Amino acid sequence: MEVILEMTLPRNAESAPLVRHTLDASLRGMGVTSDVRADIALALGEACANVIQHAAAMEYEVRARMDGLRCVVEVIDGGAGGPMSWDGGQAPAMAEHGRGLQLIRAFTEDVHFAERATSNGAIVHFEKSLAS
Amino acid sequence: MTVDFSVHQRRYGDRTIVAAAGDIDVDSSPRLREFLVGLVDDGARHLVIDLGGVTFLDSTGLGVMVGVFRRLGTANGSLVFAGGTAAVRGVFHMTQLTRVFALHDTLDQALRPAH
Repeated sequence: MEVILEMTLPRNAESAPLVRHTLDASLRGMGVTSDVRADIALALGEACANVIQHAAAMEYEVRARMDGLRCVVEVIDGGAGGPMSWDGGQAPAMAEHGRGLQLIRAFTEDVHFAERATSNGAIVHFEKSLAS
Repeated sequence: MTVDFSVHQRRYGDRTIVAAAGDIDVDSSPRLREFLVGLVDDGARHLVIDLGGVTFLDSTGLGVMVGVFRRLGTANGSLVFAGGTAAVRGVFHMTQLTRVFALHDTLDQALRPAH
Protein backbone atom coordinates (compact mmCIF):
# COMPACT_ATOMS: atom_id res chain seq x y z
CA MET A 1 0.00 0.00 0.00
CA GLU A 2 1.17 3.49 -0.78
CA VAL A 3 -0.17 6.53 1.03
CA ILE A 4 0.37 10.07 -0.22
CA LEU A 5 -0.39 13.10 1.92
CA GLU A 6 -0.38 16.60 0.50
CA MET A 7 -1.14 19.49 2.78
CA THR A 8 -1.20 23.21 2.12
CA LEU A 9 -0.95 25.10 5.38
CA PRO A 10 -1.09 28.63 6.68
CA ARG A 11 2.38 29.66 7.80
CA ASN A 12 1.52 29.93 11.48
CA ALA A 13 2.77 28.08 14.53
CA GLU A 14 -0.46 26.14 15.05
CA SER A 15 0.08 24.38 11.72
CA ALA A 16 3.14 22.50 13.03
CA PRO A 17 1.37 20.17 15.49
CA LEU A 18 -1.45 19.67 12.98
CA VAL A 19 0.97 18.47 10.28
CA ARG A 20 2.95 16.27 12.67
CA HIS A 21 -0.11 14.57 14.08
CA THR A 22 -1.69 14.08 10.65
CA LEU A 23 1.39 12.32 9.27
CA ASP A 24 1.84 10.39 12.50
CA ALA A 25 -1.73 9.06 12.30
CA SER A 26 -1.08 7.75 8.78
CA LEU A 27 2.16 6.08 9.82
CA ARG A 28 0.50 4.56 12.85
CA GLY A 29 -2.27 3.24 10.62
CA MET A 30 0.39 1.56 8.48
CA GLY A 31 1.82 -0.14 11.54
CA VAL A 32 5.04 1.88 11.74
CA THR A 33 6.70 1.56 15.16
CA SER A 34 6.61 4.43 17.64
CA ASP A 35 10.41 4.85 17.54
CA VAL A 36 10.43 5.44 13.80
CA ARG A 37 7.35 7.67 14.00
CA ALA A 38 9.04 9.81 16.66
CA ASP A 39 12.07 10.37 14.42
CA ILE A 40 9.86 11.40 11.49
CA ALA A 41 7.74 13.68 13.69
CA LEU A 42 10.87 15.41 14.98
CA ALA A 43 12.35 15.99 11.52
CA LEU A 44 9.01 17.18 10.15
CA GLY A 45 8.53 19.46 13.14
CA GLU A 46 11.97 21.00 12.64
CA ALA A 47 11.39 21.55 8.92
CA CYS A 48 8.00 23.15 9.59
CA ALA A 49 9.38 25.30 12.40
CA ASN A 50 12.07 26.60 10.06
CA VAL A 51 9.51 27.62 7.44
CA ILE A 52 7.19 29.11 10.04
CA GLN A 53 9.96 31.17 11.60
CA HIS A 54 11.98 32.19 8.55
CA ALA A 55 9.95 32.07 5.33
CA ALA A 56 7.84 34.93 4.08
CA ALA A 57 4.95 33.43 2.12
CA MET A 58 1.48 33.11 3.61
CA GLU A 59 1.38 29.37 3.03
CA TYR A 60 3.62 26.35 2.77
CA GLU A 61 3.21 22.78 1.61
CA VAL A 62 4.03 19.40 3.09
CA ARG A 63 4.13 16.30 0.89
CA ALA A 64 4.67 12.84 2.29
CA ARG A 65 4.79 9.54 0.43
CA MET A 66 4.78 6.31 2.38
CA ASP A 67 4.92 2.68 1.38
CA GLY A 68 5.85 -0.31 3.50
CA LEU A 69 9.54 0.46 3.18
CA ARG A 70 10.07 4.17 3.19
CA CYS A 71 8.62 7.53 4.11
CA VAL A 72 9.68 10.46 1.94
CA VAL A 73 8.83 13.95 3.18
CA GLU A 74 9.18 17.34 1.53
CA VAL A 75 8.43 20.66 3.17
CA ILE A 76 8.12 23.40 0.59
CA ASP A 77 7.92 27.03 1.50
CA GLY A 78 5.83 29.29 -0.66
CA GLY A 79 8.65 31.47 -1.86
CA ALA A 80 8.98 35.23 -1.77
CA GLY A 81 11.32 34.88 1.17
CA GLY A 82 15.00 35.44 1.45
CA PRO A 83 17.67 32.78 1.05
CA MET A 84 17.63 29.62 3.16
CA SER A 85 18.19 30.55 6.74
CA TRP A 86 19.31 27.35 8.42
CA ASP A 87 21.99 28.12 10.91
CA GLY A 88 24.89 25.97 9.77
CA GLY A 89 25.72 22.55 11.13
CA GLN A 90 26.14 22.41 14.86
CA ALA A 91 25.04 25.07 17.28
CA PRO A 92 27.36 26.26 20.03
CA ALA A 93 26.53 24.54 23.30
CA MET A 94 24.73 27.52 24.78
CA ALA A 95 23.01 28.86 21.67
CA GLU A 96 19.26 29.23 21.77
CA HIS A 97 18.85 28.52 18.03
CA GLY A 98 20.45 26.48 15.29
CA ARG A 99 19.77 22.87 16.29
CA GLY A 100 16.96 22.12 13.83
CA LEU A 101 19.01 21.01 10.85
CA GLN A 102 21.29 19.00 13.12
CA LEU A 103 18.29 17.07 14.42
CA ILE A 104 16.84 16.39 10.95
CA ARG A 105 20.20 15.02 9.81
CA ALA A 106 20.61 12.95 12.96
CA PHE A 107 17.24 11.23 12.88
CA THR A 108 16.50 10.79 9.16
CA GLU A 109 18.26 9.88 5.92
CA ASP A 110 18.84 11.40 2.49
CA VAL A 111 18.44 14.92 3.79
CA HIS A 112 18.81 17.64 1.22
CA PHE A 113 17.75 21.14 0.48
CA ALA A 114 16.88 22.73 -2.82
CA GLU A 115 16.04 26.17 -3.97
CA ARG A 116 12.80 26.04 -5.87
CA ALA A 117 13.42 26.49 -9.58
CA THR A 118 10.39 28.60 -10.32
CA SER A 119 10.55 30.98 -7.41
CA ASN A 120 12.83 31.77 -4.53
CA GLY A 121 11.17 29.34 -2.13
CA ALA A 122 13.00 26.33 -0.80
CA ILE A 123 12.44 22.61 -0.32
CA VAL A 124 13.56 20.49 2.61
CA HIS A 125 13.65 16.80 1.70
CA PHE A 126 14.23 13.86 4.01
CA GLU A 127 13.54 10.15 4.02
CA LYS A 128 13.20 7.50 6.67
CA SER A 129 13.30 3.74 6.37
CA LEU A 130 10.13 2.19 7.80
CA ALA A 131 11.60 -1.27 8.16
CA SER A 132 11.99 -1.94 11.87
CA MET B 1 -7.51 20.28 16.16
CA THR B 2 -6.44 21.24 19.63
CA VAL B 3 -3.09 19.98 20.80
CA ASP B 4 -2.64 19.70 24.51
CA PHE B 5 0.19 21.43 26.20
CA SER B 6 0.23 22.26 29.87
CA VAL B 7 2.74 23.29 32.47
CA HIS B 8 2.39 23.37 36.25
CA GLN B 9 4.74 24.15 39.11
CA ARG B 10 5.06 23.23 42.75
CA ARG B 11 7.61 24.00 45.43
CA TYR B 12 9.87 21.35 46.97
CA GLY B 13 12.14 22.96 49.53
CA ASP B 14 14.24 25.48 47.65
CA ARG B 15 13.50 23.68 44.40
CA THR B 16 10.65 24.43 42.00
CA ILE B 17 9.32 21.39 40.18
CA VAL B 18 7.92 22.22 36.76
CA ALA B 19 5.77 19.50 35.21
CA ALA B 20 5.33 20.00 31.47
CA ALA B 21 2.96 17.82 29.50
CA GLY B 22 2.11 17.43 25.83
CA ASP B 23 4.04 18.70 22.81
CA ILE B 24 6.77 21.31 23.26
CA ASP B 25 7.23 22.74 19.78
CA VAL B 26 7.25 25.93 17.72
CA ASP B 27 3.62 26.44 18.74
CA SER B 28 3.83 25.89 22.50
CA SER B 29 7.42 27.00 23.21
CA PRO B 30 6.49 30.67 23.67
CA ARG B 31 4.05 29.65 26.42
CA LEU B 32 6.69 27.52 28.10
CA ARG B 33 9.20 30.36 27.90
CA GLU B 34 6.71 32.82 29.39
CA PHE B 35 5.93 30.41 32.24
CA LEU B 36 9.57 29.67 33.11
CA VAL B 37 10.73 33.27 32.83
CA GLY B 38 7.82 34.23 35.10
CA LEU B 39 9.01 31.74 37.71
CA VAL B 40 12.54 33.10 37.60
CA ASP B 41 11.29 36.67 37.78
CA ASP B 42 9.29 35.67 40.86
CA GLY B 43 12.42 34.38 42.56
CA ALA B 44 12.62 30.68 41.67
CA ARG B 45 16.30 29.75 41.39
CA HIS B 46 16.48 25.94 41.30
CA LEU B 47 14.21 24.46 38.65
CA VAL B 48 13.57 20.75 38.14
CA ILE B 49 11.77 20.17 34.84
CA ASP B 50 9.74 16.97 34.93
CA LEU B 51 9.59 15.71 31.33
CA GLY B 52 7.45 12.69 32.24
CA GLY B 53 4.37 13.97 30.44
CA VAL B 54 6.14 15.44 27.42
CA THR B 55 5.11 13.76 24.17
CA PHE B 56 7.29 15.78 21.77
CA LEU B 57 10.28 18.11 22.13
CA ASP B 58 11.98 19.97 19.29
CA SER B 59 14.80 22.51 18.93
CA THR B 60 12.55 25.43 19.76
CA GLY B 61 11.85 23.81 23.13
CA LEU B 62 15.56 23.20 23.66
CA GLY B 63 16.17 26.87 22.87
CA VAL B 64 13.75 27.86 25.62
CA MET B 65 15.56 25.61 28.10
CA VAL B 66 18.96 27.07 27.19
CA GLY B 67 17.64 30.62 27.48
CA VAL B 68 16.20 29.96 30.93
CA PHE B 69 19.39 28.17 31.96
CA ARG B 70 21.45 31.20 31.00
CA ARG B 71 19.10 33.46 32.92
CA LEU B 72 19.39 31.21 35.98
CA GLY B 73 23.14 30.92 35.64
CA THR B 74 23.64 34.62 36.11
CA ALA B 75 21.52 34.35 39.29
CA ASN B 76 23.42 31.38 40.77
CA GLY B 77 20.48 29.13 39.96
CA SER B 78 20.24 25.65 38.50
CA LEU B 79 18.15 23.79 35.93
CA VAL B 80 17.94 20.00 35.80
CA PHE B 81 15.65 17.55 34.00
CA ALA B 82 13.91 14.36 35.01
CA GLY B 83 12.24 11.53 33.13
CA GLY B 84 11.12 11.71 29.53
CA THR B 85 10.57 9.21 26.75
CA ALA B 86 13.48 7.82 24.77
CA ALA B 87 12.63 10.23 21.95
CA VAL B 88 12.56 13.28 24.22
CA ARG B 89 15.82 12.30 25.90
CA GLY B 90 17.29 11.59 22.48
CA VAL B 91 17.15 15.23 21.42
CA PHE B 92 19.19 16.22 24.48
CA HIS B 93 21.79 13.59 23.68
CA MET B 94 21.96 14.26 19.95
CA THR B 95 22.46 17.99 20.44
CA GLN B 96 25.01 17.31 23.21
CA LEU B 97 22.97 19.34 25.66
CA THR B 98 23.59 16.55 28.15
CA ARG B 99 26.95 18.29 28.59
CA VAL B 100 25.08 21.37 29.74
CA PHE B 101 22.12 19.89 31.60
CA ALA B 102 21.82 17.11 34.14
CA LEU B 103 19.26 14.62 32.85
CA HIS B 104 17.99 12.34 35.63
CA ASP B 105 16.08 9.14 34.96
CA THR B 106 13.37 9.93 37.48
CA LEU B 107 12.02 12.88 39.42
CA ASP B 108 13.03 11.15 42.68
CA GLN B 109 16.63 11.01 41.50
CA ALA B 110 16.57 14.65 40.47
CA LEU B 111 15.33 15.64 43.92
CA ARG B 112 17.92 13.74 45.92
CA PRO B 113 19.84 16.18 48.10
CA ALA B 114 23.23 15.03 46.82
CA HIS B 115 22.56 15.85 43.17
